[in-house]
Amino acid sequence: MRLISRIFSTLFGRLSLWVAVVTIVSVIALYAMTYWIVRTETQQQIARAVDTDIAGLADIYISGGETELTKRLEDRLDLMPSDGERYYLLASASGKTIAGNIPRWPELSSENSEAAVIVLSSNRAIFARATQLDPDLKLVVGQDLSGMTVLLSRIGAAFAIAGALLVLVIILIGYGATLRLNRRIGAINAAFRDISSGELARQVPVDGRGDELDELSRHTNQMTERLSALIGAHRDISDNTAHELRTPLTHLDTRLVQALNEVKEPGQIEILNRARQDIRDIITMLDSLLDIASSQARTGDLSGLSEIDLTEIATSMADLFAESADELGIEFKSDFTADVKMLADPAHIQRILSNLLDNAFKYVPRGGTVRLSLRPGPVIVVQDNGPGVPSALHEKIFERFARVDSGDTPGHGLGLALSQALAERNGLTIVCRDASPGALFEVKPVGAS
Amino acid sequence: MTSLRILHVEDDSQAAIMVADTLSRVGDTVANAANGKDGLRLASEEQFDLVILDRMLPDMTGIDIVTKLRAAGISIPVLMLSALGRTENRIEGLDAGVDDYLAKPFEQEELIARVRALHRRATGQSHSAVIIFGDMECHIKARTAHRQGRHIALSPKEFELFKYFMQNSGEVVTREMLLRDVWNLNFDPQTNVIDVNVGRLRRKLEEGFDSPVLETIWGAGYRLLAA
Repeated sequence: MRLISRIFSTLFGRLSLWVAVVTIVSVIALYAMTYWIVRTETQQQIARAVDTDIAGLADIYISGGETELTKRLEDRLDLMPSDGERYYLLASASGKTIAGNIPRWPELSSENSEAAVIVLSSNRAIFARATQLDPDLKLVVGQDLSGMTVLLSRIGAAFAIAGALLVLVIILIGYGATLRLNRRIGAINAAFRDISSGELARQVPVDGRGDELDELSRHTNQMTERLSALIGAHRDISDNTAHELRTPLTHLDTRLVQALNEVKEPGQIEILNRARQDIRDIITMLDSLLDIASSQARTGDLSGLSEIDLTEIATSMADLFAESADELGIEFKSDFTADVKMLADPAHIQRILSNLLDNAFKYVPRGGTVRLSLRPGPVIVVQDNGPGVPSALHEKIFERFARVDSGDTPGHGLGLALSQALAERNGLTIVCRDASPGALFEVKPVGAS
Repeated sequence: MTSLRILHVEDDSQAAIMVADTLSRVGDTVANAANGKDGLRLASEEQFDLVILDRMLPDMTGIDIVTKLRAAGISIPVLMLSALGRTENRIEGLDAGVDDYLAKPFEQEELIARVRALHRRATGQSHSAVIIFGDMECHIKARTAHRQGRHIALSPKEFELFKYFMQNSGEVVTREMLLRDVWNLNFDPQTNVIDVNVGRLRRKLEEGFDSPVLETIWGAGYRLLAA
């Protein structure tokens, strides 16, 4: 039953079902038409045969009179087997039988030469016509219909058997085709699943039939090769940029350290140390930019993501920041639902939380409150009652190098852009809202209301 | 302090000299290999306590080397030094079998601390119920801290931090090590959160005593001292 429902849940399974239904309806319609034509034609033939017989018998009556007709009828009936096809009744005007094998006068008007299908006492249906030969003599000639009935039921049986075979063959072909197509499309889908979980070298099998599916497979392979090349190029550029910039900065730093070993004057030491800090700031900025680019490039890629316990991470993070809050004279509250899990990279979530908390602590004045909460969804909220973010900047602050203030607060203005890129990489999005008073940052799944 | 025999695979001669100078200061001997092939050969032929690998080498990547070492069943501790310092790069290295990852440029003290910590981790230390260092005692089971016989009240997290310092007493402990081992977090906070936490512990350990016990090593981290 599961197999059947699975087959009908596929495109080709449904197509096969439709073909089977259309076939059944067509066979039934064809049968009805054949039945009607055969029946009409046979009835007309029978009627013509009966009329010819009546005409012949009328001629005999005209030439030989009643006695001759009676004699001829009796001769015919003697030669005919008891269950023969023809039926006769020669009767007087009152209905009294003179000769014939019909037990009694049927309900047919001889004056009008009426014809009808009548049922004899032996449950035998015949087509019969009555005629008035003389004011006192009337005749009925009938022909058995059982031949036609047998023919029609044989046609019915033939259609039923042929129709059933046809439907069976269609279902079998459809089933086979469904399984085969499912296998081929399934292989393409499996390849896509592998590709989205990071296996970029994965190729979709092309079985060389040259059909539409092969074409689809070839296109798929071309696209993934291109995608793989692009990702590789992106990575190489990122890695090379980082390497080529960091190496001279490292040498510069080494020289500053050497200089620091020579210098004794506090003012000069201060300058050299500040230069070293500048090097670190440049590297941090570079890393953030590369992290943003890398996260954006890998959005939608499931590789590297695993089931993580958000509650555990949020708890560790709250633990880590509690002392800072205390130091800054900020009230830090947390409210977590237990066992909130999601598919994500733990380091990314940690970084997002750290950035949001760090921002809140940076802007909330002494005596203020920062609240970190987590509920299923997952929805992470960092709320403060500080000065807040002007509503015109609610979207702009997630842009690279965007700053809320004039620039007194340290940082490159990349923290929120990076957080947003990391969130998107993990299927999340960050929105900024007014907490009136204060700012509210909500991290939630993309598309959640 | 035990002196270690270290293999450094690095093609940048300036960086090689800097590492050798730094580590020889604490008595370690550093052998240099300028490419991956020589590095792999030395690592399998000679006996070292630790390998320091550059990530980008002319003939192969540090990741390739560590993969080959691990495949050959050589479980020597490996520290990767790299100009690629983003979280993504670190995780890639750690996944390949590197034991620790340090981004360039780094503080010399931090390099020493990482090398020492890696070696300690690799050689393993017995975990006794009570750790005594200088005038301090850490009772693991009772979860209590004492100095000069006086009980010091610590919060659960402060105790974890104290225990970690006691387990690594006399050695430099970096911020990253604390974040990873005490808070179980693996990212670069780029803020002073760790300093704030250590500062709190330091006040509790030093308040009412004459001698300081928690030293800040500029650019590297902290060291617990025997008063």
